[in-house]
Amino acid sequence: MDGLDLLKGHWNKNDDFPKIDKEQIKHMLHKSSSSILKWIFLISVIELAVGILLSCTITIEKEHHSSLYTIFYVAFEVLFYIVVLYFMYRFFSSYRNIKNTINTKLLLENILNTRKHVNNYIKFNIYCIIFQFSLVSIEKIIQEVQRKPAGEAILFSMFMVVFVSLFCWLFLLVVRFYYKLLYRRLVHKLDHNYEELIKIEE
Amino acid sequence: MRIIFKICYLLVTSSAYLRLISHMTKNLEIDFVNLLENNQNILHKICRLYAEDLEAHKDLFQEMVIQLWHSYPKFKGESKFSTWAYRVALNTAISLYRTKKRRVATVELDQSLQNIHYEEYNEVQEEQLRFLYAAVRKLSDIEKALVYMYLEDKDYQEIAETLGISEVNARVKMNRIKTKLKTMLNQQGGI
Repeated sequence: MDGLDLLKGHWNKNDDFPKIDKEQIKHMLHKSSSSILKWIFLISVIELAVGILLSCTITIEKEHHSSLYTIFYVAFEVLFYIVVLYFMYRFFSSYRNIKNTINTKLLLENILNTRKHVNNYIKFNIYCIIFQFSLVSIEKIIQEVQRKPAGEAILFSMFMVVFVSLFCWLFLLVVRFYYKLLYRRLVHKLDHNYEELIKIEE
Repeated sequence: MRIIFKICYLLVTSSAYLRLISHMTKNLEIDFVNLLENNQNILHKICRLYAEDLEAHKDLFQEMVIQLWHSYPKFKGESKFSTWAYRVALNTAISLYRTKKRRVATVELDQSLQNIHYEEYNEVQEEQLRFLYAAVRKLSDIEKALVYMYLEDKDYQEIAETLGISEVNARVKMNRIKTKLKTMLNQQGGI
């Protein structure tokens, strides 16, 4: 006798489970879900908010700037918000598309896709912050070069370059660590199951 | 004066709408709870394959109920409730459920095999059954889903549809699982 056939016989006969009554089911309906999707969604909403807050706090200081710099900065700012809006649209539409009633492969694909949008958004935010930071420091260097004698200016620019790259490197390190900690744990199971489904098809 | 009337009218109609909506959701809830109560063994059976212990069983059961309730408005009655429910529940176990790390992994096998009786079986068969249940639990999430549908006598077309793979591949995969289980059983010296 095949092992599974023995199991099948037992499986169909043995369904003596603890009965859960209507009240208990009703109670469950009003409890909150702890699904992976909910966590991904919650975390990304927080990240979205933090991203927007960050971009609000880093604004042009009220110092005098060259007009070229101001134009450049405003253009950058406008572009930034357009891209953020695009991401928000993509993110929410793909989140809405996730339905538990479709087949497993599509469901996994959709969740991982949503995750990818969030990921891209974060990457975009990080690069923007680094870009803004570099922009401000370049402006500072130019100002110093114009004001101070050559020797001092070179020293200052060298110091700035080292400081900025050190900061960017540290920043990336922290962010990467955060992702490893948070998302890899969440999405690991999904990735694994999705890969298995793909493998079956090969 | 007219504005006050208008506001009163709006208030009355909107409260009527609200009452209608809450009434409809109440009805929806009653329907759902009734259907689920009659079909709850579907969920228990899935939990039996996916959950390691009684605590995980309860946890997964609850998550499945919540997911089912959330997707219930999309259930259009084109298929049977039981068919729809097992699909949503399986998808929950495979993709939405977060397995929590438990403190002790040394739960006794018997305790973890929730309510499984072997009265009609002889000792050898009982031993084999215990081993088989444990072996199936060791399979991957996808393989468990295949085993579940096989045990529930679903045809390959339905299995393929549920997982989103082709029928031929579902068949191939199922055969591989059978062989895998057989080897495991043989190695254990069962058959």
